[in-house]
Amino acid sequence: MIAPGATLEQPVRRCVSRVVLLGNPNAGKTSLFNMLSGLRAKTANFPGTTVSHRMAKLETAGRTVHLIDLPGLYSLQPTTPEERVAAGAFKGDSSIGPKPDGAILVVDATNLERNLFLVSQALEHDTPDRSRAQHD
Amino acid sequence: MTPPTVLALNMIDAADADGIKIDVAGLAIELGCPVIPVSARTGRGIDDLKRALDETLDNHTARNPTTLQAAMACHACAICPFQNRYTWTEGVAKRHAKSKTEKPDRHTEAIDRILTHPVGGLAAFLSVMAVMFYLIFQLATVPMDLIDHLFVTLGSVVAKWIPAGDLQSLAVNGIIGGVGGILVFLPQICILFFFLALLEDTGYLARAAFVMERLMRRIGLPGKAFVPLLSAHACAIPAIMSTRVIEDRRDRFITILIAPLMSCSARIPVYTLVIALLFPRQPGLAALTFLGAYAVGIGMGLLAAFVMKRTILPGEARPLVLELPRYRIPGVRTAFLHMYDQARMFIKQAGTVILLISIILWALATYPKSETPQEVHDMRAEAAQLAAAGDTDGAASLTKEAAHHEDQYALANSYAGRLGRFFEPALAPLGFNWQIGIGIVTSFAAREVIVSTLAVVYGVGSDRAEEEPKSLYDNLRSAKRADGSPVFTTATAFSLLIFYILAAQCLATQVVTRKETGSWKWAALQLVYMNVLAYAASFVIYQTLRACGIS
Repeated sequence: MIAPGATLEQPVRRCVSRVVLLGNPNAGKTSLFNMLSGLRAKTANFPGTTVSHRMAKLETAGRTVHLIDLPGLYSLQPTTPEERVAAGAFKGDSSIGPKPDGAILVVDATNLERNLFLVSQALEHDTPDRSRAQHD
Repeated sequence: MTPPTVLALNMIDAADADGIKIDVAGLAIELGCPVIPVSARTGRGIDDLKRALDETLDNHTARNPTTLQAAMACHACAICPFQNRYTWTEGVAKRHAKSKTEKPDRHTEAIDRILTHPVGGLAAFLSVMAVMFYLIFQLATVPMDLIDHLFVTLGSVVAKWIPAGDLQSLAVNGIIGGVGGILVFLPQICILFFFLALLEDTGYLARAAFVMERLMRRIGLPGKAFVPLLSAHACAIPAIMSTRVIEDRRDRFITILIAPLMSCSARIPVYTLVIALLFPRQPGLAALTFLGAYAVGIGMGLLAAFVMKRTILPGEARPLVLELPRYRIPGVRTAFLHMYDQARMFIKQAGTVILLISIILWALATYPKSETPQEVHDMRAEAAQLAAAGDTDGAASLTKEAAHHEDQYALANSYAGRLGRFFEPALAPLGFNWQIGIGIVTSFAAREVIVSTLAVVYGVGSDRAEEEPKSLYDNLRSAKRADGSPVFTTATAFSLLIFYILAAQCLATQVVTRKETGSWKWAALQLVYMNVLAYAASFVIYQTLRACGIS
């Protein structure tokens, strides 16, 4: 959107977006992160936790993307601190960080069915889950 | 609300190779979001992924996956949400992924029958580890020598720039020597993490964790603890940082607490020295003792974990739910990046914490300054006379001896020396005198420092110890106590060996423990329990050997 009175010149400031990488363990999330970010990654802890994540700046055609590699998880019902942080960062829990502007769901193409469980939750995570029951 | 989302269909190359055909367009319609086939290994589709991400973020439309919501509509019972989801995933996978072969994982299963077998798997694991550690120690020697050489050269260059005095000593011995002494282990750490990343990428590490789980669970450690404990044999610092893979807090803390009991590279020079004193002419016994030292470290670590699991951090080890991924060709690029990350963290530690500790210990060993003793003045005067008489060789050796005497005297009267003497009554039951006490004090910078400290306190200058290490052994072997009995008896040497296996001496490790556990309490516990253990074990060994008449 262009504000009234703004010129049509190429804007100098590029739009900055926070994008998280979400996926099952072993879906190749970290490899994909490395491929996208190269050597520019920085490791940091999520505030108030010892759970670390890697972050990198990535330039696309249209914007600067702050890419965040989250710990791997199988579902959005976390059972471990790492999973809790990963799910919280995706959902935009205020204690963990601002809500992401976008997400890349990483899926193992050789194992589609199993990976789709997390995908189904991620694509509709605002739907309340009635169940808090543990499943095996 | 779900943020704008792109689905990256990763490992598409592996899926192609397996004959799995995925209907990307159909999947995208059903999921209501862009689906981009990519391969992080080959780089295929990465540009498409970036473009799709851009477009999705531009459009900024709130997603409305009507099909998905309809599929999950039943919320009547507790089980339904899961059941529905599984039905849905099965349906979607069936509709959009067609695989030609019935069992694409045939090879994986065949290999796994061996690699996860209780006996065969353990044998395979031990072989892989043996090869890895052999390669680490083999490949690391050249770069380690180079780094060592680099720091020695740097030290001598700096010594030329800065006039002799405290500032020169601080720069050369304190800073360059201290940081160099730790950075020497960088090649081992790099190689270790490179191999671990490769092994992880192939999928083997998950099998190894699975095999080790059976053994480690009896002690109360999770299978995932084994990789950090393995890396601890190079250095405890990256090992403690890599415990982040362990989900359970208790399991993670126990692994952190016992990691420094594994024999790290810094202990090797100490083991070498003490074992050479014990068995100078019996290489078989020497090698056995060396292996024994590693075994004692591992055994004590497991024992400590066993005890902690039943006292301060009670609880069952979390059962390992582990996905055995398919075997893959590892990506060298990913391994390099992983190695680079670990190396950077290690260098950061060396540049901050280790630097600070080096400076403090340098100050302890340097101050307060003492007057040059009369003896040294006499020796210098005599050397001058010899030089005047034309005996340059004699003069040079006497000057060297005078310098060494001066070093020895200064160290004995420094704070480190005073600490050594202060602790002597406590160390005597372990068979240590105050000279060894100084070595233990200076070891808090890095364990191997005791070698150069002993070189200074026992008759050889530290430079000569490096030129001809033989002379250090000879001097130590012939060193006498005040009453004329030898210092390094069999009992004392064994006691010293045990002490160095078990004691927590590397303060940088405690700093990392504090960082990873979030509390000084755990770092203090680690320091205290390990040193109490070391003291007790040395006490028992020394007193038992003495009682048996071995002195």
